[in-house]
Amino acid sequence: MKRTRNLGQLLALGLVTLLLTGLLAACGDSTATTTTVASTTAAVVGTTAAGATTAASAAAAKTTTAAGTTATGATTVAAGTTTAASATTVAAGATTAASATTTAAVAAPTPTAVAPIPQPAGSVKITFWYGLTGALGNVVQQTVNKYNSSQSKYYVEAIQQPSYDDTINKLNTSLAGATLPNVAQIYDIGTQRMIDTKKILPVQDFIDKEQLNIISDLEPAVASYYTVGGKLYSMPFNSSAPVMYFDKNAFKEVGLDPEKKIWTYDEVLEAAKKLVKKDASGKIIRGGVDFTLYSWIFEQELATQGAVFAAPDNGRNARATNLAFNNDAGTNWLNFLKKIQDDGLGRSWGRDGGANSSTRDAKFVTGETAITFNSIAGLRGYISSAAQAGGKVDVGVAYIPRPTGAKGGVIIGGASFWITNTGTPEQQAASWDFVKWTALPEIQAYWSSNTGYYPIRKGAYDVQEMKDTLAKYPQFNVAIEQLRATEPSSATQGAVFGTFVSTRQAIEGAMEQFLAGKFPTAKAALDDAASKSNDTLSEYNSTVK
Amino acid sequence: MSLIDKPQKETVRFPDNRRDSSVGEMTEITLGLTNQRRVAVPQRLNPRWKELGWALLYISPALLIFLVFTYFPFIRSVWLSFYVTTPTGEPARFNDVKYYSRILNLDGSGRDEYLKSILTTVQFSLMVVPLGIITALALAVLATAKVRIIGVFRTIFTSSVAISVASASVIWSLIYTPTIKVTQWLVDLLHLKSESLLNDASTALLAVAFMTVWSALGFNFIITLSGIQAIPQDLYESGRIDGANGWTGFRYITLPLLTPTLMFLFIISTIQCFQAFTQFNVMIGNEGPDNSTNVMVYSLFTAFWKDNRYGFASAISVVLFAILIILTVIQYRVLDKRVHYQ
Amino acid sequence: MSRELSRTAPEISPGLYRTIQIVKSIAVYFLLILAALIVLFPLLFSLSLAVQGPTIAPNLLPDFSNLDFSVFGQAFAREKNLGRWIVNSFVVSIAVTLGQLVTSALAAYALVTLKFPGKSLFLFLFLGTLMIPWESTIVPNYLSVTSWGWKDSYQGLIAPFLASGFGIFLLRQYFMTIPRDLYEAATIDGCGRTRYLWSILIPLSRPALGTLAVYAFLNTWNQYYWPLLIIDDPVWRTTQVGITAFRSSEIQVYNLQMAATIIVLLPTLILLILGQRQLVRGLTEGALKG
Repeated sequence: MKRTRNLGQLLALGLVTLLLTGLLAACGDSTATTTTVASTTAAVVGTTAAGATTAASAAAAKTTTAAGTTATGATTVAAGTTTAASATTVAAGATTAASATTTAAVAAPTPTAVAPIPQPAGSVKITFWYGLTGALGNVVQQTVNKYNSSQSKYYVEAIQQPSYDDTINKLNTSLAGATLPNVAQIYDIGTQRMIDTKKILPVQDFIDKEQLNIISDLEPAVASYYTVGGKLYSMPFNSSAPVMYFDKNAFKEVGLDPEKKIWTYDEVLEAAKKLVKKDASGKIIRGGVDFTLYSWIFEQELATQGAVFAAPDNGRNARATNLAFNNDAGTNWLNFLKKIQDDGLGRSWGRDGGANSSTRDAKFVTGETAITFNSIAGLRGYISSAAQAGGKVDVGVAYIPRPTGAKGGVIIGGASFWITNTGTPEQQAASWDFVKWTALPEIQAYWSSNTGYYPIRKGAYDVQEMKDTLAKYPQFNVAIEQLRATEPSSATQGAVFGTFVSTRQAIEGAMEQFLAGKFPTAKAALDDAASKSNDTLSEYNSTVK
Repeated sequence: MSLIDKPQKETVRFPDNRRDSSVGEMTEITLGLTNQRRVAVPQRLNPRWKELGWALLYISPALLIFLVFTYFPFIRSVWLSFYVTTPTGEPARFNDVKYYSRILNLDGSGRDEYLKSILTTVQFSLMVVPLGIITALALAVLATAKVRIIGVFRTIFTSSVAISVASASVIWSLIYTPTIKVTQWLVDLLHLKSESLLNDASTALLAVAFMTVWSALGFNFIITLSGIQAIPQDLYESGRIDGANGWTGFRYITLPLLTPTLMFLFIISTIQCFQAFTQFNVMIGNEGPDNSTNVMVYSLFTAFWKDNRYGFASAISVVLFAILIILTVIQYRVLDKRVHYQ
Repeated sequence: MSRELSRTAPEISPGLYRTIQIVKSIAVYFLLILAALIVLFPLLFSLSLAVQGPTIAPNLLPDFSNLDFSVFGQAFAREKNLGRWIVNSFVVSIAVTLGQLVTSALAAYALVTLKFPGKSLFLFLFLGTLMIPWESTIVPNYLSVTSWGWKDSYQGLIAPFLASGFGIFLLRQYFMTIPRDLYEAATIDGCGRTRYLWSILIPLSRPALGTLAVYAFLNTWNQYYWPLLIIDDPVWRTTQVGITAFRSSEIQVYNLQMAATIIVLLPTLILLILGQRQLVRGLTEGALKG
């Protein structure tokens, strides 16, 4: 008796799996598969479990809406009347849902996943890892599709990784196993680590071999970031820099100039005094300047003041041996943030990333923050979210603030394409062909227009698509000006060294501790971070000669 | 390896039903003897060795998996912990025990962040383990109430078992976010300088601990409930005659008989707390405000995944392993004596 | 308190007694519902966020006149492999669960019923696996699995997890509550060791096995880093890896994030609801024999 029930349980489990696998095998079309899977689960729930309110209602909700029933119908199901009958209805509804799903997807604000195109027979296949996700990831896949359909000699298989971090870590782990991708999109701060893998073919070598005249047309700030020891190692792809975002409406409200582009720390503090709003209890309801603790912005502020992050020369001519960010430029920025917080002019949302970044963005687009700092790549998101949130906020863009008299500039951020030395000579040729193609002005114009990153080629600004984009987002011009105004130096080239990831963590930790009053001075906080980071760096350097 | 080879030889020799056979050449000789002697001799010689072959046979599948996928890699880690490694994980040079002295602050640098990390881990366990077990016990007792639709409540109380720590962390990080204002009253009440419980050094660890209690609740509840259900009802009936009811029944019947279950939960929860990582990674994503949530596994993760310092990461994992072994042995020694096995 | 109540119970009138009973059960229901709401809060919260549309500043409660359920369809539409990922997760989780049940039952059986030298050493070896952090084993394991050509395959996802120190410990604790006389009686009756395990110990231990099955299944379902490492081809991904994409877009979309989270937890939740009835029944019936 007991054994039969036990068996029954296993059988049921097995049956569900079989059904799912069978369905998957039977349906070539993936849209149909997913809907049917959902209907099967819904039916199972309906027939067996009476108490399955949450489960069935959510599944029901999905299928019902996909089938085009009104939202009210879905609400009734979700309200908790999950009887066997309602679940059956859902299952019945789902059988017709296959075509309706597509309609739902078209109506959706988020773009649907982009399917790769099939590989033509006889073409050379290369693999390409990328770390961008969501809407940006889709544009990457679209770009790859464009390449694949532009010619038939080579075929790029694009494999999305969950994040930039995961891409480089997975690549690092794969080094020992020798199954590397042919091309990988790696973030800016992974540059030194990629060079140190010794599995890289510098794009400079390919350029020299073909005597290609491309470097002069690259955006100078972009080219210089990815040039180490006089060699362009990787091909920049998506590039961005930080800007100061502000709400033009709030500026007008308190009588500040919404068109002013360059602000000093003191001017920002003055503005924040006017912009901040508090309720009766003294709690901030609109922050003058709200911010996350973000090492990337800290690095930018160093560049703006012409100070290097790592010595010597930010690691540009010889390997960086020593972190130097505990200088006056660094303390200036920390003191600026501390003053905002202590004088009640604005709020810190904590360290950048995850929920804290979302908080910063949400507060800005809803008008609860007047000034904040973020990448220019966030512009479109801000504009569209602000419109969705009621249109109270008119997004303005200015240079990141600086102390009086500072004359440096910004460092490019983002990611670039690296070619690895794995694979056959044909695959390496294919890799270069693909990478070269992504740097074409038209492709960069396409990429920039669909994402909000800078084009890496000056020539891209002559493409009509890019001109249209700039007309639509005039704020972007400020970011371009800021980039062009940057004076080339090793400070604005940005630092390269092997342990950037943990150094960022140390800096953000120091900023947080300093703001919380754990260190008496900004210098002490940065000294602590520098000494921690130096330990790690010197150990790293000792292993990669 | 010889451990594995041995039982296989024996099993070939001894068919299933000859349960009284023994090890070694002895059997071959005794086979021809009388039935009586065949049974008697090996048992008198070494009754415990006799069962070793069988035991190894039963144990071998698990053992094999563990040797290949757990102990072999771990022994490699122990070895690596004495080396500085290249970014790809190859030993670059011998480092003696410098990593260990760094972790335990014996290197004279005066930096105790790793000792503090151990302390944070202990604090975290002290928050989660007792609260988790008490909550589960309370819910389990509540769920033995003889009312209708109790099954639905039981399912609800178990539900968090179905939600991965990763998913739960995503949900809870939104619960704590100042944007949605669910926990803002608490932030205001405590007059925190930060805008979120997760961003304040005084509350961050507690906030993660609370989420962990919720996340582990479903599992702890199932285990506790099954333990309570396993207590024979007639014990309560005879208890009732002696006047043991309600609280006394719980105190003198339920609790003592539940000790094997609770001990199991206690040990497992402690180990899980020491190994907790996902919630820290998803909800905090760094060492926390003023290092307040930098538990050992997180510092291990930083060394391993962010810095690729495999040698150092290995050393942390060895220390963590050692602490857990010591803790478990103590828990086991102390608690096993108090446990009532039926 | 309740002891006093029951002591005085025979002396009070039947009417009052009934009132007390009703009050008592109302109190019990009140407590149950309160506890249920607290436990369910995070789930309801995520559902509430999911149906609020793509807003950047959601509220605690949705606008009930304007619920947007299309987000669940969007999640599927946005990721064509989502169905396949769910299947992968099922196959891997079921295989690992069955494997762990077998290896753990065999090992725990030996540890509890057999007497042999080195027993505590083996127990120690098994328990020790619980204390080894995964980070310290992942690189060598990755190398082994790659060298066997098990990248992008079910065996690569399954094999390393076929044994569980936790499972062995759980079953050992449970087997120990089953009287040893039963074993001795059975073996004297000529019941073979393996048969004793199969036809007496296993049926008696259904609650513990059920618990282990649920635990093993869910743990495997929830794995993240291992599948991430050894899978390159998107069709071989498991849900947890696949779904991370939803969480890491540049500007976070709460409703999609929550919808994705709900979609991944649905299969396990359904399984739990199906399994729970079996489990609870098993608990009440099977355990009494111990």
